Amino acid sequence: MKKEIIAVAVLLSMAMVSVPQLDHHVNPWLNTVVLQGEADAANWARENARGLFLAGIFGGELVMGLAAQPSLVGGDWAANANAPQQMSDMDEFYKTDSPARAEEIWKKYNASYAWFPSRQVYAGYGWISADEEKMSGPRFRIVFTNPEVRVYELSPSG
Amino acid sequence: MYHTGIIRIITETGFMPVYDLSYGGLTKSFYVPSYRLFTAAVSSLSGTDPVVSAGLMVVALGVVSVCAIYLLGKEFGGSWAGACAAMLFVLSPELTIYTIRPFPEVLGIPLLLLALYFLKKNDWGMVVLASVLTALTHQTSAAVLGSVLLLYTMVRRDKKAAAALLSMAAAYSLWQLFTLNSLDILGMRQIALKESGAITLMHVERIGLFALLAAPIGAAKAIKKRHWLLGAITVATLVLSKNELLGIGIFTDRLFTFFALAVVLLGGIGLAEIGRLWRDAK
Repeated sequence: MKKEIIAVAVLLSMAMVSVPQLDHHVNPWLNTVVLQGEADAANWARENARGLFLAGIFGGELVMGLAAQPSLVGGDWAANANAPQQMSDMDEFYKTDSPARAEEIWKKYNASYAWFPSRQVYAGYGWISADEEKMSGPRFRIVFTNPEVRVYELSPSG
Repeated sequence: MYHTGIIRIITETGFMPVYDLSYGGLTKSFYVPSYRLFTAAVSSLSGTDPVVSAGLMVVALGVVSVCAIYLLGKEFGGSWAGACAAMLFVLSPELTIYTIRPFPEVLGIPLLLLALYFLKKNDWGMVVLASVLTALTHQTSAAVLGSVLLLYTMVRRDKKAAAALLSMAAAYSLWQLFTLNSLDILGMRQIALKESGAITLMHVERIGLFALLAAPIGAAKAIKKRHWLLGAITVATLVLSKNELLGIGIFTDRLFTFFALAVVLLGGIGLAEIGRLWRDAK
């Protein structure tokens, strides 16, 4: 009996020694990559939005998961042979300061909404800061907003 | 999350969508259905949102995985080996990373372990059932299980393993034919474009310190006891993890997770052996 108790104590000690290794390797996978407000926006989209979202990978997957709507990027890249081009276009959509260029990309994919979170975005080619100022013109209008994300659609005249 | 999107569509419409939501949503889905159907069923029956169900399933299936590795380890080395293997599973960063996310692998891993357990128990029906379910749950888990069964069949001429392997192949082929109208598995984009990541020392470290230390002792014991099935698991998963050496070069980092399973099993046997020697020491 004494040896069994010692054996259990040794195993528990091994477990305690292993916990820092677990923390080091596993915790990065548990870090949040979207904002709480984005989840609220995706819940809004579930009831009010139908169509393709122009969003980064993490915002796009949030929309897929909570609203069951497709995103231009995000999910399994192998699902679409055009994935690299779509990532490149999405990257450009976020980066460009030209409303005309943004609208061109929008219409290329017949998108319905665009997703602008208050954080850097990742469309497949690195973390970038989105230029949202281009969305303030007459071509686009906000359909949902909270402090952490804005969702746009094309204006009826656009 | 994109799996959860499909699960949501299933719960809302009662049908599995033909097209995936990924990258524009215009391509037919190549995923096998069981994980999504199972989670959708749990969501519908419990009345919980698919996101919540998917999260709860991660917890539940994690428990199943731990129990399954205990059962399999017990078959190879007794109850202490099973318990140690279960502990090493929980302490393995590699296995934790791939069992804490809501995707098909969280169901594929326990099904694979159970299929191997039933093979060791000589239960024909359950081996075939678990193998077919694995094939319809997660293609990578199925590739691993199929490789283990193939190797075991070649070495031991085991009819159950052969039957399970053929059943898996038939089930997967029928599903792919039904959904994609094609049996061209090699044409799948991940295979054609060789989706893969290099195995580094970081991956090896992620197996777990004590599993790595105890596995050589477990391997020596397994060889001495002629545990052919465990040998097939170890060799098959090691070869799959380094399949670039065979000129294939696909999914090496994903397949390495299953080699971690083999090391954890060996480590469990090794720790049990250390304990036995210490207990019997005068």
